[in-house]
Amino acid sequence: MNNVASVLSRLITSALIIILVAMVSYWVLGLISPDETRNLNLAQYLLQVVSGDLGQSQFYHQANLQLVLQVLPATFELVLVTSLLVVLVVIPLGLFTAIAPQHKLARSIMAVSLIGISLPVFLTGSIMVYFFAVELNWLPTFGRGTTVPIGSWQSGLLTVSGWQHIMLPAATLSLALLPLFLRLLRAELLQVMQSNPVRLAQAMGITPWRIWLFYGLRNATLPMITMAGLQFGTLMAYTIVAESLFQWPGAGSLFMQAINRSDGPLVSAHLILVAIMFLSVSAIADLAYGLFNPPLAAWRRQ
Amino acid sequence: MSLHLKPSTRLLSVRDLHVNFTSRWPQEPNIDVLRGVSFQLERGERLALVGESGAGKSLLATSIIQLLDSSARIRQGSVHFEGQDLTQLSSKQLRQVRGRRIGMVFQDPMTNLNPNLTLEQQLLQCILSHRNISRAEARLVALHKLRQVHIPAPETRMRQYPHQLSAGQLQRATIAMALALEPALIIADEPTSALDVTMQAEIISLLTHLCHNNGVALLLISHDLSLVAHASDRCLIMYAGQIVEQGHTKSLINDAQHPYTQSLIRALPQMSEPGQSLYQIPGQMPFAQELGNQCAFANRCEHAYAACWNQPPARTVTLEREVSCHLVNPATAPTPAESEP
Amino acid sequence: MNAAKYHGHHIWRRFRRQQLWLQLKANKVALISSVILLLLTVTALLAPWLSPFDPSVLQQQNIMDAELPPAWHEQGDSRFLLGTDGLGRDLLSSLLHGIRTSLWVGFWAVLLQLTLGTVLGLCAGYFGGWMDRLVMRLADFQLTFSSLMLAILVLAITRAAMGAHDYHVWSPWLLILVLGLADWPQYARTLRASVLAEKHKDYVAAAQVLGYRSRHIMVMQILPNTLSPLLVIATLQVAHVILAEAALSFLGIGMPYGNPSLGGMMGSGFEYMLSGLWWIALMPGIALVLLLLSINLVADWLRDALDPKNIGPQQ
Repeated sequence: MNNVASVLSRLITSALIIILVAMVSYWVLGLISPDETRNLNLAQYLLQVVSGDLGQSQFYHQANLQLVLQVLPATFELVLVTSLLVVLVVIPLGLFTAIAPQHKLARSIMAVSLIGISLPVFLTGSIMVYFFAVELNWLPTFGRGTTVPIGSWQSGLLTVSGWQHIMLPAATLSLALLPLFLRLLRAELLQVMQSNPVRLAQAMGITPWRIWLFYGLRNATLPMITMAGLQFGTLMAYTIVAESLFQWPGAGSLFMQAINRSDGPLVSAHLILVAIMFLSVSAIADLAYGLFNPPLAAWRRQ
Repeated sequence: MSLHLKPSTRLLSVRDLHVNFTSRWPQEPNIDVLRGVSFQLERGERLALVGESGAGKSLLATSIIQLLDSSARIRQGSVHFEGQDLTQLSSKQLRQVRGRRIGMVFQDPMTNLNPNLTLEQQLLQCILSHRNISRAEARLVALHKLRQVHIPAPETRMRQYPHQLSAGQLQRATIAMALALEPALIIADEPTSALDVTMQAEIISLLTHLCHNNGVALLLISHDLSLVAHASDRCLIMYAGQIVEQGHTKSLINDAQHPYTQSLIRALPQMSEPGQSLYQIPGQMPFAQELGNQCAFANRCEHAYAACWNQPPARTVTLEREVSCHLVNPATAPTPAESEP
Repeated sequence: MNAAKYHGHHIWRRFRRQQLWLQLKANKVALISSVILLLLTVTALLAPWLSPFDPSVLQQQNIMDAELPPAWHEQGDSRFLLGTDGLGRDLLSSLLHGIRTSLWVGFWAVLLQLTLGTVLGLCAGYFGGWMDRLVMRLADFQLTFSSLMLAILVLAITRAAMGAHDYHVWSPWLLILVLGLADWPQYARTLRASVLAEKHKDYVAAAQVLGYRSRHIMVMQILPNTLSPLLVIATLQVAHVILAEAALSFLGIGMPYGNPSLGGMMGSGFEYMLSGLWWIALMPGIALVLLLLSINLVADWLRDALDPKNIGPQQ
């Protein structure tokens, strides 16, 4: 019963936040395109939003929701490939730098990661474009290549050209996130390795790789999920920068276009969608946290 | 040497063990926390190690299995176990001893078990680390051991996480883990201090019975002399990083010779009459760095005299009893005039 | 332990003991990065006198000088040490002015953050109750949403509402305001934690008994004890603000085009990079990384040096 109450209170706060954001976006709509709000008062606008109508773009003359849903797969795939890259690189590097902190290679990795934190995403992006696209001419620098429809989802992950196009933007984005997560994982692992359970495991002669995997990495998962949830805003901001840099046809590019064209309805629709996305990600992070946290998971089962 | 005399029954032999903590400050000297600890343990013997907090009991336990903090270092001495000196082993060889030949039970089961793994997973990690058997076989071993420690409904319990079990059950589970690989020795470091008083006697008797039935030697560490009195064959009394007295538990309690042991016994609640206030040993144990060339107990000892402040006492070995005290040593014992306060 | 003697966060006392200076001498990385930071700051302050050209004076630009590579390149021109951009402006001059802009924005925004975060954190910690809950909830929200994302939204919307021309009259001030108002939670959290820890200590109670008002107690007693963690956060935040300013200028919603800023230079240089003219985007990029890296390293060192646990010889 506790469970239902918490879900319910969460839904109510989420609805309240979305209505609040919708009010702000009405105000923004009036600021950017005063014509749009002349024949539409706040109550009417809110009613429209609640019924799922986010208005029509001034530039495209198309429903805003439609426009965003068309470009969302591009952004989603970019974020997905980026996250996979980050996880695939961070776990082995984090383990290595924590297992052998004094090793020369581990020290250089940490030094590079410190420089990496100071590298802005658009600089790594520019440098990669220069090397891989201009000098070597290996990879394309803009767009997402050939896409294949899966239902209404246009996927670029099923074609060679799609993968070629996603390489540079995804690598750029993950390079921006890597140093932070690497340093966090390493610090977390080093702390876990000082804990009582690990001491008992060592006293019982448990194989080192089992300790690192089932004690170190497993016990570092929860704090890392929390951190990942906290970094969502930064990820969104970086995605906007990377999308504009590589002219990636995603939601970030669409938003910047709407800004440059002063397309009020499209900008305000974006605001509401960002709020929805933000709320869903925090819900997903909580869910994942519960999944990996035995006390919470058990409480849910009861 | 003496090891060759009784090779069949001698299990553990700690000789002149010195452990110190290295200071981060170069101007500060390194602090010897264990200062020449020596004792032996026979196969199947139950040995108690008693002393107040800070005496170095836990440090002794972790230095036997060579699991020291990075700042602690064995400066001198040896730890012979089943014929090999553990201080000389590589970490790979040590791993063959830890868990497999020496089981370990720590103080607080709530913080020592991994909160994110079920009991089964933790037991399996331990068993599979040492034995080349299938998961199913390992699971059977784990179940068997959980039954031995009297955990009710072990099949369901082992699928649960630590936070779903009581402290008593968790400590039983860690005992099961310590026994899982049929070791020759179990070191239990204050195994009941984190438990309810009602639970303590139960866990101690479970531990001693299991060790006795399986022929496992037990090193039981506690600050509570009354708790270990019935659970041990022999007893070591530790004070400020040294063993001050050792002997058979019964005779030690009936006829304590070191003033510290005598005060410990006087301080037992059973020893005071109802309505009478409990005896307290005056003063505090000195810090390791404060100890000069003197008896460590001199500042709290009722019988202290000139010699106690001038040199540390030598070990006096009589039949089945070892005492480090000037009073007991015929060479340094005070003349009647000196012993008058 | 001897370390106990050094406990307490009083930074000035430690300055007086020359602990910081001694530790700086011992730590090569920190020493080099603080020298670089000092050099960059001085050149930025003296940019109007040091730079060979004034980027804002149109008469000094010549389209014939456009897209010249750095001077050491065979097609380079000795007048333009680091080459020129697409409009024939000297990159070195723009760069010096750009660093000046970055530091200027960083300084004022961090000052604003520091003030806001300090006030909110002190109030949350000292008064507790609903004020504490509200401030901490807002802080959580702001941390998750990130200051960069908030700045992108606010600045982008303002630009769309004002139009590019009007917007760029105000954008430098707006930039400082938004970045200054967005990134307060870290200060507030640190201060709140320190206040909660200090609140029940004897000297605060003593001050209350003596009849000092709560504001006086907070400012005069608690604040000095939390100076060093605040200093570390503020230093890190300068780098953070500079990075955010560059990202916003890169997106075209930060500094106006005429105003040289490192992010803006890289944004307009990116087009040229595609045709192989790497220096226009790369030169400001290198300057930016040098600036950020030296600030981050100094902050890293400050954190270690001011941590009471780490007082004593380096290992």
